[in-house]
Amino acid sequence: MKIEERITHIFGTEADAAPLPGPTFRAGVDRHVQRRRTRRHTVRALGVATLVLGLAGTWLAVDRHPAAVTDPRPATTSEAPTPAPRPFAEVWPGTTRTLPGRLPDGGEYAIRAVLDPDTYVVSRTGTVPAGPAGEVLVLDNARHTTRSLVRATRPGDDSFGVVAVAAAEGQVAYVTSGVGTGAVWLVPVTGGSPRKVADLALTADQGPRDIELVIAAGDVAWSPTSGVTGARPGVWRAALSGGPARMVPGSEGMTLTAWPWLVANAHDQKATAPPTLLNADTGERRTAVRAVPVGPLTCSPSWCLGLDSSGPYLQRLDGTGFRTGVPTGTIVADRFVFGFSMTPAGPDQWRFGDPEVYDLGTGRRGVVRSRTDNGHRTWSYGGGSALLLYWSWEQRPDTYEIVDFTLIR
Amino acid sequence: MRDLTDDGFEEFFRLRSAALLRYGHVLTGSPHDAADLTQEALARLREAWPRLRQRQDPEGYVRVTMARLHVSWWRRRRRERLVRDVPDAGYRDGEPDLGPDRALARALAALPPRQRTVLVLRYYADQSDAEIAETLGVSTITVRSNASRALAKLRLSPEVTTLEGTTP
Repeated sequence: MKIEERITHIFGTEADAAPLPGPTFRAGVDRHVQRRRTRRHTVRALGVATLVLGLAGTWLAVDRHPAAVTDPRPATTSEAPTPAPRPFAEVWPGTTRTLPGRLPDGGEYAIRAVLDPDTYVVSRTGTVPAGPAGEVLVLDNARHTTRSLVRATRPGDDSFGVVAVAAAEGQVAYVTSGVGTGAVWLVPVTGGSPRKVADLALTADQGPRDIELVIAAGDVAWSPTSGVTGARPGVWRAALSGGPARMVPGSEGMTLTAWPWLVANAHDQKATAPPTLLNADTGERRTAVRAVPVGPLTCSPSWCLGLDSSGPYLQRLDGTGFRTGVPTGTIVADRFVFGFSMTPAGPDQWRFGDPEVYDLGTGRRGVVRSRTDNGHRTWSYGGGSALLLYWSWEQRPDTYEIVDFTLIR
Repeated sequence: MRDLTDDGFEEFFRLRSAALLRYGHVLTGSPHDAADLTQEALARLREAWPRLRQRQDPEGYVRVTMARLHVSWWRRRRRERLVRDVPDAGYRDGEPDLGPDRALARALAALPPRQRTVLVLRYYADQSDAEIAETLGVSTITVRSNASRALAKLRLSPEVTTLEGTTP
C-alpha cells in the first residue's frame, strides 16, 4: 500500500476514534468566548499601561538587570541516579520465558494475563480458518495445549470482539464490544458459563474503545474512558461473588490506577491543576504536589510521571524525589513504569527508544534491545493492570519472549 | 441548506459539533487539543455569528479557523510540543486499530503542525492544493513544498523504520 493510502487510512481511523462532545463541551465554548473578551479588555488596559511606562522610561535612569530566568523544573533532588537500562534477563533473572508465537492450531494470539509461570490467559487475534478473533483461552506453556474459555464472537459482525481482559482470584473478566453494544463479563478460569456483570451504555455509533479492567480484592472494576455515554462516566465495581454493578461514589472523570485507588490525571500540556486520587474502599482522597508547575502528569498512589519540553520526569506524589532520564509510559501497580525512552530530537521532534520497564521501588531498569540479526520487533504490555511485557522478532515469528513481573518481589 | 436565522447557533452546534470535533482530532492527533481547538473556533464563530449566518457557510468558517489556528497555536507552543499524551507503548486495547500503521501514525503526530495540517487537508478533507492554499492563506507552492517535505520525512522517519521494521 502506498504511503498516501496509509495516511488516508490513519486519518480516517483517528477520526473514527475521536470522542463525541461531552456534556461540558458546550460550556467550554462559552468559556472560550469569555476568555477572548477578557483578553481584549486586558490588551486594551495593557496598551494604556505600556504607553504610560514607556513614557516614564524615557525620564528615569535606572540601573536595570535582566530578569532572572525561572526554570520550571526544580533543582536536582534526585534520590538516586537513574541507571542505564540493561536486558531483562540480566536485570531480573528468572522472570523471562519463551512462548510459542502461534497457538497449537496456528492462530495468532495476544497474551493478556499470567496465571502462573507456565499458564497464561490469551486472546485469539487472528481470524478464520484458525479460529475467530474474540476467543479467550488458557494457554499451558509446559504442555503446549490450550483450553477455550469463551468465544465472544458475533456471526457476520467483524467489529464484535473482546477489547479488554483481566485475570486474578480464579476469575477471568473481559469486555465485549461491537457497534452499539458492550458488556462486562466474568467466567471462572477453570471454565463454565460466563456471567454478564453489566451492560455498557454506549454512544450511538461505537463500542468502548478504551477501557481499564482489573480484578482485585474480591471485586471486578472497570473505567471506560471513551465510546461510552451517560452523564456520569467514572469507575464501576461489582463483587466477584455476585450482585449488581455500582459506580464508585465521587469517581466521575476518574480512571483506575492501583486498585482500590482511582485517579483523575492531568493530560493537557497546559494543565496546572494537580492530579487527584480517590480510594474506592475508604473514600480517602489525595492530591499530588506538582514538582513542575504545568504540563501532563499521571499519578499512582505513590508516584507521578510527567512530561515537559525536556522530556519525561518522575516525582513522588508529594512532589519530592524529582528525577529525570526516566522512561515515559504508564505507572502499573504503583511500582513499575511500563514504557520507553523519549528524548527531544530537534524542534517538534521526539525520538522514541526501546521498550523499557523501570522499577520505581529498586531503580532497576530493563530494556528490549534492538538486534540487527533479529529484524524488527513487535511488543505489548498486555494492557490494563497486567504485569507482563512480551515481544517477538521479525526473524523469529514462531517465538514470544515474555517478562513476568509478578515474579519480582 | 437550513436557514440559520433567529440566531440558530445552538442548532448549528447541535448538528455539527461532533463532526467538527472529529476534524479537530485529526488535525491535532489529540483529544484534549482537539477539544480546545474546536471550542476556540466555535467561540470565534459565536462572536461572528450575526455576520456569518447571512452567508450560510458557518461550517466553512469554522474549519478554516481551525486549520489556521492549529498552525499558529503550535508555532507559539513548539517548545511545549508533546506527541499525543504521555504515551503508552505497544498495543493497548483502547487505541485506534491502526495495525502495522501504528508507527507511521506516531511519525505523523511528530510532524511540524503546518506539514501535518497540509496532509490532513489533502488526504482527510480531500482538498486540492489550490483549496488548501486558500484555507491556510498561503501559496500553492508553499502547500506542495510542505506536502513534499512531510512525505519525505515520513518515509525516512526513524519512528517508521525502527518500529515498523525495515531495519531493527
